Amino acid sequence: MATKNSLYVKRKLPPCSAACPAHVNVQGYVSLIQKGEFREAVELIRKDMPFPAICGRVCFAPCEKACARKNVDQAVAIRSLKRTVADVEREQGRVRGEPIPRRYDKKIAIIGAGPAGLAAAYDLVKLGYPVTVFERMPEAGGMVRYRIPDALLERFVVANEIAYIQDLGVEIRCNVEFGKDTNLDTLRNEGYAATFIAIGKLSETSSLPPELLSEESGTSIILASPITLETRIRGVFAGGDATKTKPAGIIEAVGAGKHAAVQIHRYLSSQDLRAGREEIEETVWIKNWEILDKKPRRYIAKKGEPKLRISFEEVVEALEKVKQKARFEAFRCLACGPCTECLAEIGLCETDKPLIDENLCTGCNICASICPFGAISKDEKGVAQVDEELCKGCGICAAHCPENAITMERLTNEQIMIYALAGFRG
Amino acid sequence: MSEWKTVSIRQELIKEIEKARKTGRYRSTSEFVSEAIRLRLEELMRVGGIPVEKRKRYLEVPEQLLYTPKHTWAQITPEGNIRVGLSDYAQGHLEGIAYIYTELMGKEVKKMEPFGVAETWMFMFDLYAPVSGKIVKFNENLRNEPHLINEKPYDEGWIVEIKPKNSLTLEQELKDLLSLRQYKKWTSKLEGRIRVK
Repeated sequence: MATKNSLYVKRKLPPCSAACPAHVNVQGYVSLIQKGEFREAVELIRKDMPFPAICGRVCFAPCEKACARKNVDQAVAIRSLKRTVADVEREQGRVRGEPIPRRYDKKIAIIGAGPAGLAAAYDLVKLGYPVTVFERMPEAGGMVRYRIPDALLERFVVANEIAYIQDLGVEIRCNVEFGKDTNLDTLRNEGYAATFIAIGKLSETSSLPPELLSEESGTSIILASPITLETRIRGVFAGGDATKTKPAGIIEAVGAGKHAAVQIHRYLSSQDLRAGREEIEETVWIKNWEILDKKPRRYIAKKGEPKLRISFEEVVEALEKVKQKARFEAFRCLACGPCTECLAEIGLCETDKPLIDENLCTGCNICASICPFGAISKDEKGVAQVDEELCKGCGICAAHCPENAITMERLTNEQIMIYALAGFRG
Repeated sequence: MSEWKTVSIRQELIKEIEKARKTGRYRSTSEFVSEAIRLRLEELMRVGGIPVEKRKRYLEVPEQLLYTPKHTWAQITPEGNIRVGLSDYAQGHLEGIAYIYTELMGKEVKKMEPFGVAETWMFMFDLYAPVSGKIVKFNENLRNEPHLINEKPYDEGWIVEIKPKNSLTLEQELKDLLSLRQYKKWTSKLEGRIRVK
């Protein structure tokens, strides 16, 4: 299995992030909402994908289907929370992206300004590549722009999210049809080093090079490897609905775009396209669901809820109410996954973890039995070991170690005792 | 609105103020003093004496316009139409403005009834007509740049033009609108009030 280990990178995620094709750090941004840090929450979402407001409205929410809170009552309203944070940010003023400095010269062409193409462009421009997106229709957005009714997804939402991507430095050329106005040869002559084709569901009229195409269950699709997204032509990648027989949701497209960005970056920097693949493992530390209290969900799972109609004098209070509601809902999250790389918790994770003195540890196993997250286990020598992904730095093990073999990096022993005792009384 | 403070003034200055009062521009000594303080503060802000974060934004309220209590203004254009827009107070609450919907061209609107909706990312706000009449013009620039309302609420950020029904009713309706002084009073009252629904 040596080959497998070198190809795969293991990544432990909470169920919500594991279920999301874009692996958005749900637990992280929900915990930021708990603290009332809405702006930081949107920034955390934008690290993984560029469409917080669109996905907050029309995503199929695979995260909610996987939410571990379903074992207690209902799932946390993750989609509504995402919509709220994105809207609150815009409600307090215009949002503009900062242009990202170029770090590479190799130009990248992306065909199709749908969610997959734009997500790929977003990730590539963040890496520092000059990216140009070609779109057949007069406006960018693809299916999101032309197929979803205004009642579910307002037009300005799409325009605004795309404008943000353009602010970062992505060039979008509309009214350019691939196959008619441009093709692979002209793109290569213009100096594009790699091309990503994300033109969505193929129509019969689309004129593509025949070596790209393939027939599958009666529909023609673009043949691309599911692992590397490479097509039969070197330097040409394809993803999204164009490579599938059935159309998928927006978040699947975003996931495909992100995947393509990683592959194109590897291709252009001459790395192995099959290396460094992520293997996602769903991790939940809660074992006993009965002891948890039930809390009703605060958002109704319904798309396109009407907007609040208020007068100008009520804005401040109404906005506060919206924020309060979101915070209450966010507190329903059990934080059941391993410690995520949430921005707010970096301080805690980096500085506070238990240190085990191997000379003092007698292997009594008390720490392993007391740890609420199951983060401690014994190695073959009988010495306790801490799993840093599961550890949340609570300090209970340090408080209970009879040999004083465990110390915390940041907390003093007195503080640990206070925390531990409070935990037991509660 | 901040609370009242007592300011002591030298006797010789009071005499000067009394003279200024005779011109009829100020109704009381305190009104003169408050305006003087405001002007002084604005001057300090201009030269940068007050750090940016401590500056209080003063609402901009042009004199020649007429206002409704629902924060729309009215202005008579040379063609005799009534141009309608949103006041500075309203635009301060519309930072997340996304779209403006109005009734269609040629539609009759009534005084103090909504003629359109300003939509932000989270809320909708009704826009109230200052006079009755027919909508004859819409500011097309707002379709693509609704932020014009934030930047220039009193000129380029106008919303619609209404053609009044007849001059007789128009005169009466314009009389009912708030003047600059009345509108200022109304907004300062609103700023000091918290309404809980």
